Amino acid sequence: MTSARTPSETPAFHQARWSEPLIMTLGSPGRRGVMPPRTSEKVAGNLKEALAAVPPDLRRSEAPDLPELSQPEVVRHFTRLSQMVLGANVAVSLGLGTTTMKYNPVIHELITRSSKLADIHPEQDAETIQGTLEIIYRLGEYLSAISGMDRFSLQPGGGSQGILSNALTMRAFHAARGEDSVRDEVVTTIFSHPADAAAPAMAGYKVVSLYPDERGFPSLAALEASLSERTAGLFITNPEDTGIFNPEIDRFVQAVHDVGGLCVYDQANANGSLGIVRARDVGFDMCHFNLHKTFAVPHGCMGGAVGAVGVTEDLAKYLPTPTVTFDGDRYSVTASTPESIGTLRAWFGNVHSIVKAYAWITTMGAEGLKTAARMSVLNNNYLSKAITSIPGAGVSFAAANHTPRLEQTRYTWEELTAGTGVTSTEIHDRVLDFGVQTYFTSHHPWVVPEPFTLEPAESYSLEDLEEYASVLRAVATEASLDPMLVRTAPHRGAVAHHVVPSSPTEPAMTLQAFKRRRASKASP
Amino acid sequence: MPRVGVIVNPIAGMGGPLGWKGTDGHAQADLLAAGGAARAHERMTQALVQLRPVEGLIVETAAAGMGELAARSAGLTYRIAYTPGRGETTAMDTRRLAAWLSDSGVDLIMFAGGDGTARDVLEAIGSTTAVLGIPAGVKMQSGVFATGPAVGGALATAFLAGAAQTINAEVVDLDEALYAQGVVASRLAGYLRVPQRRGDLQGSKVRPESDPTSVAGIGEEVVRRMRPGVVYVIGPGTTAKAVMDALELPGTLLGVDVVLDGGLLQKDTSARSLEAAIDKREHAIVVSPIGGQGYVFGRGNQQISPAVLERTAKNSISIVATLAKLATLQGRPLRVDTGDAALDHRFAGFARVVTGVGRDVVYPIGT
Repeated sequence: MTSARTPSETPAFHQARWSEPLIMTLGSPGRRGVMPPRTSEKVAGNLKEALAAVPPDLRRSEAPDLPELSQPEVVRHFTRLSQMVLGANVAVSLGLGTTTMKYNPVIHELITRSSKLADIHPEQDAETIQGTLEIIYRLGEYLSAISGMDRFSLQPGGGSQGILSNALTMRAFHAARGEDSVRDEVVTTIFSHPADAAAPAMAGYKVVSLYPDERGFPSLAALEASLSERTAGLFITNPEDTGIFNPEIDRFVQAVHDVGGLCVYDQANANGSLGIVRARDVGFDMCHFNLHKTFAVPHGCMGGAVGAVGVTEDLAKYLPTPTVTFDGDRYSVTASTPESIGTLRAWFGNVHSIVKAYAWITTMGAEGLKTAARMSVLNNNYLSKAITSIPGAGVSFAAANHTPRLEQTRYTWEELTAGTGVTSTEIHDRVLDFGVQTYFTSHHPWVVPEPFTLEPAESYSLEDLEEYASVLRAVATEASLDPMLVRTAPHRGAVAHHVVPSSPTEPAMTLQAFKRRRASKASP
Repeated sequence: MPRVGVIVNPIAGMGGPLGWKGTDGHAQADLLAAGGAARAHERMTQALVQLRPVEGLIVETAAAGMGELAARSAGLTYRIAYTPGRGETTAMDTRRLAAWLSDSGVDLIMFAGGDGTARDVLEAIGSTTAVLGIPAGVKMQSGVFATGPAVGGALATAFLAGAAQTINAEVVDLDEALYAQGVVASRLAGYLRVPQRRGDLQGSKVRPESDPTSVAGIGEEVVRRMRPGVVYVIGPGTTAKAVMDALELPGTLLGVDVVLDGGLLQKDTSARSLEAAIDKREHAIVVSPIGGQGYVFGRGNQQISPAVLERTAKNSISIVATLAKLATLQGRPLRVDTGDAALDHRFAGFARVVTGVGRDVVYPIGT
């Protein structure tokens, strides 16, 4: 017996719910949080000179419209908002399959807030930031060792940008051979990450997606039917979202190479294969890692992420710039190279994320990485046993594919829904009422009916796994006994119902946009 | 106060266990004599039970087996809006009740039956009122049905609470007399407005024509790939019609049109005219599979005859479908059933399905 919390033992959970207005509407004119000392006359004089250098049309004519609050009001505001979020620091988040939520060591925050990193600037002379450049360079070397690739760029600011970088590299490769206009198609799979279709499309490619067969992954025959002289390459995730590892992956790579295409391994989530399978050893020409998934860097809420891209020696000249190079003695920065696909974002990428990933790899060591992969697979299979014992829950493609899933599993509530009318989306909303993070259903399209996808990475304990499984079991029981309770959830969350916008232009992302929207709705 | 119309086709599904293909044209007495068991009202009861928590709900229905029985078993408040004539109810009763319910402004009509019942409802009300089918027939090719009674009831509840929108779903009309003789002669009868849960595209598994923006994207993509001097045969359905819309030509929603160099050659054509149109000319075909079933040829588009298909190269056929529509096949292959096994076999293998702007999916075709 473990000491797992079960829903019946847990005192009824209720999330904090504050009636907290937008900060722009709080405070009062003239109120201040901090009163900085007056600037010395010397500094003020220098500043006047600097301001004079700013062209008049770029100068602000009136003060910015900022909220005016006291410090306690600011602290209260953001603490309240934080209490209405079910984040990783308060709730088990292993339900968010495909995103590799794992422990992000707190010491990494201390390291990256050190003035040695926080107070430097990328435009400083390379001689004065040798340590940071060394970390950037050495992380590239580590990732090369992990993937078998020859060179890495850490510049892309996220997984999708990493895939875009690889798609542009693919175009550059074919263009150099005069084949870019003929090779206008890339192949991917329905269960690969949607960015494996979207990013190549953004790079100008047509996209052909392969459907899985009854085993849960596409057959070699389906791949061969998609290949032609128009094929530029393959973008594939393995294992895919289902947790199923395509055992024919080396033959896929060979088939694409046979028609002259390149192969890109989307290893955004490499948690199940870290230290076990290397992209280059399978024959891939490129790969990418999301440092904010596999390498213990926090998911940045659209903020600091890194989609590190790795390529073979032949393709290294196309990598995005700037790059950090090492002559055996000093580290230096190469701003641009003639054949590079160019600069995807400013400077070297998100350096604080790079430093965190570097710290994690050096702490874990080679054996530690392999252990993380094995533990994540073990955790997933332990959890799977518990989930499949819940009446109405099942593993996708289980009828024809009995191989254990790797680090994540796509499950289905199809049987439960047929019997109770309660859908996966409704269970999703009810899970929150138990004080754990809810789950990820699936990317679209929902090939697996009533899907949910769980990924218990290596850092979750046995108790965490059992707590999560017991929550799902409790909700499944409710669905049978009192379906309306589930269908009207959440009942104990900070927000009663999430609203799915009907169009991408519906949400107002700024206060100004919100006011405009409200004004246009008010007037007939 | 929410008002729901309920229609039960009391004999729907009775032929199934008897090995009959359907019950159209059969008398209830014959079915009972043959040992058929009524199950439609039980299916509707299972669905209506889900509506118990809806506050102030009033069910409008017809007497006895046409709905009263189910509403009473489910414990709902109901009013008898229609009393069928003495004796057995017929398709005419279904149509009359549906028309009355629609005219009286109910929020939703739920019916238990099969494709024949769906067609009767469609004939009576078109796309005026939202409709949801509770599956109770022998075979259901139409896309207007929930996957099961409980799911249907839950979906209806969500719709009444404003948590679902409606989409147009296909009603497929199969000639049962011919079907019973082993001849498949079906056509797309039209579209009913069916609830679909918001933010949950496949959740209800009613078969969607889906997101209009991706349907429009498919139309644009097909037009972009068109070549001059080639005769294009455009099949039935909203997905294929998007091609006509992209060409800014008046298309036939339920029929087959023919275009050449951006102009309309034939509208709502027949097999014979079509054969003439492609005679000695390079041609291509654009078709969309029937939702849920996956038939590419042989269902709902018999104008594209075996004679036409025999002269059509496999790579001259553009299959068009949204990803959501493909997902309704649940991994089953697309199918071809022209009545000519050798011809069907020629199409077996993998096909490229156009799913949007610059997007194809490689999908298997079985026979």
